[in-house]
Amino acid sequence: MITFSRRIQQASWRTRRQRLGTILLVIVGVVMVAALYLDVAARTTLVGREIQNLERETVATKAENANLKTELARLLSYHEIAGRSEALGFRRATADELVYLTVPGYVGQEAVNLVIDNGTSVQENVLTDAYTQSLFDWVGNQVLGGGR
Amino acid sequence: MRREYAWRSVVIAVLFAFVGLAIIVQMVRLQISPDISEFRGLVERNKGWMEVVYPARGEIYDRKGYLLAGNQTVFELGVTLDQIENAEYIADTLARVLDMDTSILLSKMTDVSDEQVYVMLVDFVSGETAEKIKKIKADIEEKRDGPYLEGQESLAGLHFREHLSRSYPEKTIAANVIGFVNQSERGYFGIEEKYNDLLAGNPVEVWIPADPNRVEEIPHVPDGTTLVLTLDRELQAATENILDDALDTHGAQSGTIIVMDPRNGEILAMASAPRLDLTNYSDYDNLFDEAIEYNRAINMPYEPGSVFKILTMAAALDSGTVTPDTAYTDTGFYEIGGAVIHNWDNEAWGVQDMTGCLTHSLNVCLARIAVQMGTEDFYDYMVRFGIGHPTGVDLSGEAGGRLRVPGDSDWYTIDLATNSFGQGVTATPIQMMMAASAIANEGTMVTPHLLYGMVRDNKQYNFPSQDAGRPIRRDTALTLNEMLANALLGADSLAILPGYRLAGKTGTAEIPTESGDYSSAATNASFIGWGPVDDPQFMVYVWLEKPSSSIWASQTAAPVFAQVADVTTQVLNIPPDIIRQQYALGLGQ
Repeated sequence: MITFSRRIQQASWRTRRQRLGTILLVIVGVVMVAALYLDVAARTTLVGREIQNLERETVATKAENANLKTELARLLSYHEIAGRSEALGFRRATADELVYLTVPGYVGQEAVNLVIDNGTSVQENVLTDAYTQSLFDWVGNQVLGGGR
Repeated sequence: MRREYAWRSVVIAVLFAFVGLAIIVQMVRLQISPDISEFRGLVERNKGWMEVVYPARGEIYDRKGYLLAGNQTVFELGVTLDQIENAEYIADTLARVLDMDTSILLSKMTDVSDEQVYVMLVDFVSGETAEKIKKIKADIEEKRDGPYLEGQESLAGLHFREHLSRSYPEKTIAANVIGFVNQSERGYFGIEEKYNDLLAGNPVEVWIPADPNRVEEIPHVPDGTTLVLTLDRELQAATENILDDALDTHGAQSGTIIVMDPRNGEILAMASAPRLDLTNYSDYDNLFDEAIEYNRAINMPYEPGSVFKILTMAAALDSGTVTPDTAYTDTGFYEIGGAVIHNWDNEAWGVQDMTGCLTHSLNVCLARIAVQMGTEDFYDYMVRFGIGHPTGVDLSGEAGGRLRVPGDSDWYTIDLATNSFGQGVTATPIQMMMAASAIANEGTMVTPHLLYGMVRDNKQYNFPSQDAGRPIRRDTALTLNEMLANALLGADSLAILPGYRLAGKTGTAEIPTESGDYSSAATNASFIGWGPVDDPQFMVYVWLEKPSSSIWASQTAAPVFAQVADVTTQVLNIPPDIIRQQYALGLGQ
């Protein structure tokens, strides 16, 4: 048994191959980690750029919204509507011409509620953890959090 | 064989070692380079930039959701100095389109320091005008078929930066209430000034990183708060039309009309003349001599005259000094403090009850009642009614008026008598509204206000009304309410609105001259009234300054009140009394 072991140890090419294999293994490991980092960094950058573009779009949309609201308000302004009504032959009713009806359930005109309830909610943090945590954070989460 | 090819490995190893070494050498060289500060500056500049983010100013709506003040895109036009090819042409073009002086524009581009890279030429250019200039620029660039030649048409270097600015789609409607925002985004007058901090939001200086990985560091700057007012646009516009017509018809110098809900203090309309077109607020100096003229309803105290008698009568009834049936013999004059008080017509009206005193608006009667009540009680009630103090209405610049009381150096015994019929005391129309709300609202006085609610983060917060005290008892208020309704009918007033039982009182006040005397030729004509008497839902105050068609409020302010009441009942859907009572009894169809 001892004789066999010595023979193997004495094969220098085998020893060199083992060392080379170890070095290659380390290099491959480092390259994999680097590639992973690069991939995550690239994806984070792309999302970041997308967010920057969306921010710009939001600003532009808000401005457009404001312009449209103003334009709509101009078209519906009192003098505009009064002018169009008069042109169409409408006039304010006199007291004698008014007819009052009971409308069941109608409690009179209430003040406006400007809150828009469109049934959607905006998630505050749109980025998943993958874009914000480091590799060590991720490993920690996998180990401690049971691999969510 | 292996040794034969070993040199290849050596070459590759040397190559890699050389590249690595070169990188290290370059890194070290950069660190010790004399240009390091320049490199660092370059890095810093490209990392990001500081920017002041101005949140969009909050909008203002009326109670039905009509936009009264919004925002719209405008443009700042400026030049990047090192990109300019033909400064004269830029100046000429802008001057032509914007109707400006060429030399001023040109000097802005030429009188610059060495460090300047950008010059702002003009701001707040409308989108339409900016588009015109952009088109000219695009046309020139399209025609260009080579490099710039000296003297050639060129708008190179001209840049357009868009930003939001205030817009007022209703122009003059409610201008006195809304106020305006100037080019430095500061609110002046009315709601714009009172709620400037809420509307404007908080400008924040933020670091904008160029690195997309740091995008989360950019803070979110919330827009200004949107406000919903108690105003009703339709009623406001109708009231303003009535006021403008009244000024023409009665030859008054100016005036104001307020419509308020006496149950909660919500101001439904507040018209004041003259009014500014908010889209052209530079006209301010042409329209107003003093700031207090901007909104007479709250800014301008005046001697209200006989409308004040309702407060004197309320105090007298509440203190038990008189009852509605108390008999009084009017002799037409009353001597007090070395002076003689006369009735408006210098006549004696004989035996009257308290309703008669109000119907015929007898100065002598009210002066006697005030004296009978006593100085302490009279002024105590007037203070309880809030006379001499601002109401706290949520508009900027409210005046307080003046109530001289015993102990003041300028108070005399005669003041008790004259104050009882609204002379020698000053109050703003809004103060009179608040005081009289106690009579219409069963003894509880309400604080007049314009803010109905505000919207922030997609949530609307509505504000409850606020009581301003209880100066008189409920039964006193109900009694006086009836007396005033009867007085209006008894006087066969022009304020009567067919189908509705209303309560109200005229006020014709002489105007003090600079010498301290009173002029009978020029008066302030007022009317305060509310209805329907059995369930007051609106209260109207009319003030016409120096009407020339008649000096009497019964001929000028009273019919204006009837017009406003007519429109108000229509806009608020208040049926005539008989229909309302039928429905209340379940007899309506």
